[in-house]
Amino acid sequence: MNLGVLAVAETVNERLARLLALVPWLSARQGITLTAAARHFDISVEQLTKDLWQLVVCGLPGYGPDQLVDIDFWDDDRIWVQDPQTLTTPLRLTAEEGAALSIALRLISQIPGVEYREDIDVLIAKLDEACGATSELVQLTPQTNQAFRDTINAALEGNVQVAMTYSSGSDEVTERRVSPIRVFVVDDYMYLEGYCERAEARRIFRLDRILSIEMVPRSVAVSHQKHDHLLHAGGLESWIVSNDNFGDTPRALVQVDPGSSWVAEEPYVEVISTKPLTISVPYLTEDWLVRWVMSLGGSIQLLEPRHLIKEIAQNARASLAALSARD
Amino acid sequence: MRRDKTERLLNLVFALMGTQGSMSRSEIRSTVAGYESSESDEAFERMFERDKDELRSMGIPVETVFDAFGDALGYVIAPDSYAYIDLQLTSRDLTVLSIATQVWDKAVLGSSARTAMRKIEAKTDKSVANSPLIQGVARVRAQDGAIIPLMNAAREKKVVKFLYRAPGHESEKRSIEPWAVICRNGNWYVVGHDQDRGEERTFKLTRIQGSVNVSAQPHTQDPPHNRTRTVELPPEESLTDATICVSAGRGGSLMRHAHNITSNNGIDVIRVKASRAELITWMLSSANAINSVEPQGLREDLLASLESLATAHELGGLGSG
Repeated sequence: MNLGVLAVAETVNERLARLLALVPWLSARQGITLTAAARHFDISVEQLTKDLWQLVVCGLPGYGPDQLVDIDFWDDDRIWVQDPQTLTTPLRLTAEEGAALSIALRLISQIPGVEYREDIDVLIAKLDEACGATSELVQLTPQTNQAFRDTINAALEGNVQVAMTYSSGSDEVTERRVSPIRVFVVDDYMYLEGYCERAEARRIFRLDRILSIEMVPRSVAVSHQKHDHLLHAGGLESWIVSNDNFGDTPRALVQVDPGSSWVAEEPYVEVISTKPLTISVPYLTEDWLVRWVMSLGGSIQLLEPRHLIKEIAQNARASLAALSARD
Repeated sequence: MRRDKTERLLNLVFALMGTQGSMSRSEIRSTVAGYESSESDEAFERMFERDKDELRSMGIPVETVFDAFGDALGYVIAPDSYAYIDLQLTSRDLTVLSIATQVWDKAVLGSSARTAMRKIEAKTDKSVANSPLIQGVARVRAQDGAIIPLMNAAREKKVVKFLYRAPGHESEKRSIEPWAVICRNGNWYVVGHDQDRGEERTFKLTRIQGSVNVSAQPHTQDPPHNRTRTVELPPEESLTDATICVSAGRGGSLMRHAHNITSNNGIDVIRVKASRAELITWMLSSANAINSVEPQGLREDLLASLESLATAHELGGLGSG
């Protein structure tokens, strides 16, 4: 993996950027408390106090009382900007900052059921214009069927159910009736969260695994509508928790053929040794692990857990026998 | 040391913003707090050059003012080019933006999104309206440090150089004119003109070794018309048109990519066009439900894969003896 340098310690640039943004932000909020300001900038009150002490010893050459930045922050923990010197305005957005926002907005605007879509489109145009049109240089576009998205959007708006044919992660194809709750996106994958009548529980479906979908003229039960306050426990955050935190998940040990080294490029893979290439892979269920090893067709070899090795061999033999017999 | 540098840079910003006209290097050295300690001319020059570059890299427009003969008179930060452009945002816009800020979370561009939001909020006293209906709707997890320099090089139309290791090849130095950075199936790619190959190429970012160097050289080729809007990843090999019969209720991966499906007596006949590697993977995902495979060559590939799968796992794994 090519992990970028995600510095833990704050760099001079980051601190300087904050100091430059701090003064105009505080000027627009005269009398704000140290605690509230620190929370907003996601720093400790102690760090904010250091920042303010830093600012009040800086200013224009000469550095007399009229040339220094003047900020009061010792009465009642409240901050009053008396003289910001030249820092009356924040710095213009950089192209990179504008892109960070407009790329994210572009992703959000594609999600069925999202409100304020028109506002979002106007915002993207404003940001791209102010920062030099950059959002299209990063393409983050879920590869999903537009008609499916439209159906889900209409179902969410009309509070009606959808009937769909779904191909699950285990490659099974099932018919399901779902009360849609919302759609969310992780990278370029789009997910529908809804109450599934077949499972009698809330489930998450990947949109690119839907084979067909249509609205059915049946209202979603009030308890499953999107305004249900309980819903905030679900969705994206719970997906991240169950799919992205591999801390306690068991890991399989796998040896990879030199010709299939791309397997080791997946972000969740940990390389144990390079010759031969041996990797550790987290797995949530044994079923998934067996299917995953089988789908790579002998270009990888499971080493651990050992009790699944035989199962894979037997599955492969049985499929071979069945397929040969059918001729 | 670090604190001194922040203080010096801050004082330099104030001085260059507050100056009438411009400030010469000697004025900067003698009047801006932080530079008086330079021990020699060279030490000052080095320090000032670095500081100037650092401010510019943060997007602070340090402009050089020239005299009629083209000699540098001094430096200035013109308020007109420094000042934030008011985007005339409503409080609903601010809500949407604060949600956009969460999209990158701890991923690349996360800190850029946050500093952007601080600047935006500094310009307004409007409060951010809370809307649960669009919260937690999107997340990007990209951690690849190459994304930002490649994106910036695409915008500035600069050539980039990096060490690239294609599967089955030794690492090679590549020079690329990047057009766009693309996310597909959670993986990140850069597409652009490959200067050594003389044609369009796509590179998977996880195969880039070390860092991406953005050179000063400009692009020599324009992307094909509207290319950056519609960049597609090229197929890695030619496609096979296959007909695969699967027991009903199985073969989900094949069906997802199918262009035609007919059902007959508990058997689904799936027509699907894809690379051989993809077809094999999808068939193996439902291996025990496959009834027949056309063309014959593909069927043999499937049998060979199953055979090697069985053989590899029949000895009970390595170290079993």
